[in-house]
Amino acid sequence: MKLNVAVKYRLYDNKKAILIFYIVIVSVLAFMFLFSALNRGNHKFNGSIQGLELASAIFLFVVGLNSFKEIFRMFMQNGISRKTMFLSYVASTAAICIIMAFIDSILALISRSITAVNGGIYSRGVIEMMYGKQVNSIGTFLLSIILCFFINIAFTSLGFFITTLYYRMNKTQKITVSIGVPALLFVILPIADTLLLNGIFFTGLAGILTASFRDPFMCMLSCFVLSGVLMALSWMLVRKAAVKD
Amino acid sequence: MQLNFEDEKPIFLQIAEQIEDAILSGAFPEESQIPSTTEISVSFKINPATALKGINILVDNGIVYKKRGIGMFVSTGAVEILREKRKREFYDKYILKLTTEAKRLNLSKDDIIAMIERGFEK
Amino acid sequence: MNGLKVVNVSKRFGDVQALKNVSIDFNENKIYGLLGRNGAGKSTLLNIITGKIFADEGSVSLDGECIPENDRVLSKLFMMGERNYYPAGMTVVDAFRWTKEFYPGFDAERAFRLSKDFGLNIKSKIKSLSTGYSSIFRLITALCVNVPYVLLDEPVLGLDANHRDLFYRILIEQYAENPATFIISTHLIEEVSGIIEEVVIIREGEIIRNESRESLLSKYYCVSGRISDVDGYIAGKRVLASETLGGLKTAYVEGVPDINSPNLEISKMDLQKLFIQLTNSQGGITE
Repeated sequence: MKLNVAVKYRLYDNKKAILIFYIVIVSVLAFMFLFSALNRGNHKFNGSIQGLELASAIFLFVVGLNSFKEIFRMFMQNGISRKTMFLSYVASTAAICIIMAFIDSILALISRSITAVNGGIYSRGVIEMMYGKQVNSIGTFLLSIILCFFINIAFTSLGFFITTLYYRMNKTQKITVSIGVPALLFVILPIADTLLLNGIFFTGLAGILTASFRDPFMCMLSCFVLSGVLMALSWMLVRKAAVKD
Repeated sequence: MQLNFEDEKPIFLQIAEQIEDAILSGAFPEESQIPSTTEISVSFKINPATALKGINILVDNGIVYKKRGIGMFVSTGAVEILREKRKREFYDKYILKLTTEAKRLNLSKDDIIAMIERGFEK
Repeated sequence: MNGLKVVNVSKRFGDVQALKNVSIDFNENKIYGLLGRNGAGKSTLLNIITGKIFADEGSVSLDGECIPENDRVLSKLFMMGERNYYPAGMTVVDAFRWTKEFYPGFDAERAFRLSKDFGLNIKSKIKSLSTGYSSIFRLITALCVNVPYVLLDEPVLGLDANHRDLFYRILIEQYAENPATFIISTHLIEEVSGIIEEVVIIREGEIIRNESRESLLSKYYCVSGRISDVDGYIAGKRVLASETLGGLKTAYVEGVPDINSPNLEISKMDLQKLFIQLTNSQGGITE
């Protein structure tokens, strides 16, 4: 009962941003194709659109970043428990990610079809870009949607996890994490790896990453596991969160 | 010395008294409706329970009665009841105070009677 | 089992013990005044009751069910906090619309009518409202939400005299027509003293008084007169505090006054005076 209202509110909250996002995307696409159509035969003009769907993933990462503080206060004001708030986040994220995956796959398809007619711009969707699979059947189209869905979910979960983590941390912890994590990843680990481990760590990591994303199904599975872990961590952070002034 | 508590009556008694005054002055004639508990509490900014307590005193004394679903009305004969009650209270409330203060000021009984006569002439 | 029950609640913020083992019952359909000086722990208590923050120890329950993280119980409560928790970019009318979704008993028509009475433009964005109108917006919501327990934390903050008057009238009207429990935390005691039935006084995180206004006020009185007379009178009595002005002395005394006390003026205590004496930093009973 309350969950329905909470999901409805979240969808309402995201509606405007998603609408603006697509207006921008469609405008950019339209502009590019129009421009190339006007300059047909002029070989100086060439462009490419690759992995259009990833724009959505990045957009959803930002949505995830903005899906906590304001809504948490609104829900606390209106008698929605943290549990219901979190469940509504999972439900609305799933809904938004699948809808956007669907729209993106269609946009990628349209964009590619225009490319076929108008040679000025080279366009391919994320599944073709990453795995060389052309969307030329219902099967590959569905595969593209599902792949986008999992990528979207992973990005949203990452954004949400970061925002909840920062919400729970005090100032010192925030500074420590903000400096510490990049320093660890880009300075300490590389140095330690080179000096002490002979590069085994990063070679291994690269190997694991390559294996994790080696085909669409592995990519889906990896995104699914990553999302699950991030969501579980987020829930642990949200469960005891206090309203701050 | 007289206890000063009398001057600071509980609010519910003050409410009852104010309605009594209004009935005596004819502002609320007999068989007319008096303001509801809500109206009284809103206009005096007091808790409705306090207003109800005040009105219940009037009900107990037969000064107002309840018409179900409509409201509170002034009883027939309420003015008479109130006059009698106020007359009974007159000595304690006014005369006793008057004589106490007069003694403090060394005013004689005759002085006071003269003043009373002057008051009636006005 | 009915009512709002706070049992042994403690809460610490860093070095500050905001609440110390607080236990209190709020009963159905009464107006409570939660009185305390700034920082006494009023907001902390209300925030714990409504589950915004968690108690370190103790529990809160409503009609026998634990409150935190329970949607069904939370829907019986509404708190108007000192701060705005609505999205800043939302308009007043949208906020009303969503309140209706979250609390189906919300009387939107009444909310629109009250907005007109207060001169609140419902098309304004919440962030553009002045402090006073931001309070008014949240007050109207609280007065129209129709839940059994309404908590108002410093409700008249930033309101001018006319709007405060209007608010008290609407509050009484709402209470008379749709009885509910109202818990009003405030330090403007004089204004609410006629409205509240039950007085809860909180000092430094502890509840020091919790009883009906009438019974609390009947326990104390003021005595004034010449210093020597007053000193003679209060000898052996429990005295809250006293102050002198020239040769005159006023003492605030606990108990029943002696009728036979010549040369002394004895008068009733009002709630504001009593509150000040009870919560003064050096306050407390001396014998």
